[in-house]
Amino acid sequence: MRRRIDKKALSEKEQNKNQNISLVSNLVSFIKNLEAHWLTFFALVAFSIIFHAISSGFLTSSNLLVVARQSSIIGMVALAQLLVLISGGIDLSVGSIVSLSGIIAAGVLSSTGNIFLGIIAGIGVGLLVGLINGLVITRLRIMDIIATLAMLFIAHGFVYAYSGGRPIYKDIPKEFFILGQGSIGNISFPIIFALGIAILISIFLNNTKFGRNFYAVGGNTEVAFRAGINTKNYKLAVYILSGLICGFTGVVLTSRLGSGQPATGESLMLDSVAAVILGGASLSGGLGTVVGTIIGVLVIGIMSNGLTLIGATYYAQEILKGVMLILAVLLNALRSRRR
Amino acid sequence: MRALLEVKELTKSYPGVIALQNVTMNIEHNEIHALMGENGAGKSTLVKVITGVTACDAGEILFDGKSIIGFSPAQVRDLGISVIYQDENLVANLSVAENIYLAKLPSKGKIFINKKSLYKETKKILLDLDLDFSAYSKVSELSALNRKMVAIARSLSFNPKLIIMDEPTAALSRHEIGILFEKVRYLRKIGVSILYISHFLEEVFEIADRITVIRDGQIIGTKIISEVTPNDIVFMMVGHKVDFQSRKANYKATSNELLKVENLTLHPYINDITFSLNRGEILGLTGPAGSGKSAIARVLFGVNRPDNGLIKINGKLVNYSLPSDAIRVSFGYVPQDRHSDGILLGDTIVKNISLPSLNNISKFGFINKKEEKELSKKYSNRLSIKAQSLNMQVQYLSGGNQQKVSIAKWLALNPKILIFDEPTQGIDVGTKQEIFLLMKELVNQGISILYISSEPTELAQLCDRVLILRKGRLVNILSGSDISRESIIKEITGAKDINNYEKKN
Repeated sequence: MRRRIDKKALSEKEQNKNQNISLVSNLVSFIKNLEAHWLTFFALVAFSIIFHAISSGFLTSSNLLVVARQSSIIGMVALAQLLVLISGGIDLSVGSIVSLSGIIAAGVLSSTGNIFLGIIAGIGVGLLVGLINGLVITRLRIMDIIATLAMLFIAHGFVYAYSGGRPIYKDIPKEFFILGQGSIGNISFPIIFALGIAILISIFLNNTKFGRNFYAVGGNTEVAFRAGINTKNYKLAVYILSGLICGFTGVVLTSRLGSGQPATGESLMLDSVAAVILGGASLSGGLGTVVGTIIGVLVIGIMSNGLTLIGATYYAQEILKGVMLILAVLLNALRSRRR
Repeated sequence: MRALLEVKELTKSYPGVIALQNVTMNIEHNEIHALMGENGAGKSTLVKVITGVTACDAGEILFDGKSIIGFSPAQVRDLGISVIYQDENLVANLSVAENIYLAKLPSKGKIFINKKSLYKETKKILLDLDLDFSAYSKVSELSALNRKMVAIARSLSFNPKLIIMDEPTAALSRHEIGILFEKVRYLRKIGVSILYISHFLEEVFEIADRITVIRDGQIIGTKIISEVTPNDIVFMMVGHKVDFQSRKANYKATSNELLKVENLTLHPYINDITFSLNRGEILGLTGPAGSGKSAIARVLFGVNRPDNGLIKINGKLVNYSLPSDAIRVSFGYVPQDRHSDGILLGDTIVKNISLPSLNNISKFGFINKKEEKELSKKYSNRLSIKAQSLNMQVQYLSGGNQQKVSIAKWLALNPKILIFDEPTQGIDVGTKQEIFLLMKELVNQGISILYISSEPTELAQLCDRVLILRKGRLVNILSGSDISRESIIKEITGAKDINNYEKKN
């Protein structure tokens, strides 16, 4: 029995107008979000210019597409991490889920030759692991960070138990590789997938009550609970969503690499958290946007591409990534302290 | 002989408020000295100044004839003044001994804890106080009474001459209070004076040698307990102030029952409470700390599940497990602590107001943002929330405006029953009056209000009936012309019971 608030009946025409307004207002909020992430955005532009000055090959459309393709995998995982961080949790098992889903998909593909079955198996495993994470956290009341740390080990163990530590590539049908290696024009499928997920999540977070409730649960669980939100179900749902997205990412990654590689997901956990934090989210929950996350992912992507291009070592990337992270969080904090 | 503690002409003001005005009192050696006064009368400020937590503007404090003005809390403690706060400040996961010596653990070679001497010393203190729990027990495993005992033992470890106890009996049963009082008398016997702060007249008359009453930052008087009656003390606490004009004059006893609560029990906070709330009524709920008044609100709103009891709305039984259930049957709940339970500080005014109403303004899960904005605008206007824009984060609003947001979010749901838990705490006088006016308007529209407060003045000003709770039990219901500031104070402190008791004898 829901109580309705007295509302004026809107004519269809007015509703259309509202749609237009909401599109414009979304555009406005997009630009405003850019403003909120000026520091990371500035870093993005500055890095691009510096890299281009040193190595003129940087700002070419072919290299930028390479950056985008490389970033698309981190991007999808970071979007999953964004959802978890907004709801006040953290998912340390994302990388292991990507590896596990990828290796299971490869295994099923190589033993059955059925593409559909392989994809479903990969995504299904991700979903299942996410569900277990969620249940352990909400039903057994184990802290997010502990539960997903445990899952990081468990899933990682399963990956090596299943694959014996060796890549799986035999008898995988060629058509499956379209998923990760195909493209529309110059834009490869992983980029399109990442953008598609970004748009869906952005609409979900900004325009639906479920998305709004995620922010409330992460912002202050007690306030959300007292506003009538079933906070446990939201916590459960966010880990399922994270598992689902990571499972899909694992399948795409296997397709791109042409084989199931046991170690593929290992760097993704740290990178995904770094990207989301660079994009303005907070470990204490209730904060974070899709736009910010995309910028965060691109900063990391451009940094590693550009530094490789100018011949710097991998270690230099790590050092710079760490410094950037501290600076981004510090300046964000200063900005809000000043107000 | 000089008094142990002499407070002379102490004055302390905060911006806009004079908290203490020319306060003069003294505490003798071997004395249990009670300090009573309403909330906000200046008791806590006085304690803070004596213990060096807050500096005073003017005046003098002599302890054992020596000035302690300007001393730090640690210096004051080392001189011999200990405080036991209402919530004891114990670390639950440490042992009794570690808690007692937390501030000065005996050490070996300045790095390692000397466990042998730690537990030896602790056992000595426990033996002195005749306590029957182990020095090795974790504090989290102890009863409320024994936690209080650990706090007493800790204060004794500083070899105090004066112990200040703030509401020490709030969480204790009648029997436990008896045990506590034995220890307090033992302390007096071994030469420790006690400043005993309490809301309970009955207890004060049982334990204290003298009593000082403070009102509006001024000392009204100090009396020897055997020379006064409880009524004298209530009179001192209330003064000659005229009651504010109350609603009860124009209250029509509709007896149109909306909510009925039967035999509600939640151990150890609520004990078998039955009451009803009428349509268009402001029902006050009051009692001293630990009376269970906020627990009733939490149960009614589905935050806590009761151990026993029925909740009926319009005569129909409702079943609860979550706040969402309470919202469905038309409850709204403005909590006492708005920062932790009421509002999302980092979110905008719009999002805060619409949060409980999202179901009503969404279609297929999509929020109608225009409707959301209109809803928030309507209710922020209704409460005249002052902000540059509705997209401002609520953390940048004043306390009063934050409280209005905390109220507006529930009004937007058109509730039938609204629970206000201490809605005027930390709020300026102007906003206070606005909130009172709003409450009166709401009941005129037929909304029922459950008003939880520990301010007798405000209760007398607003309520149609007032339920008096003590230690989880409903002890009396005041209504109509029986409601006054004086009668409420008498009920809260239990003065009436003592008078009856004396008459009988």
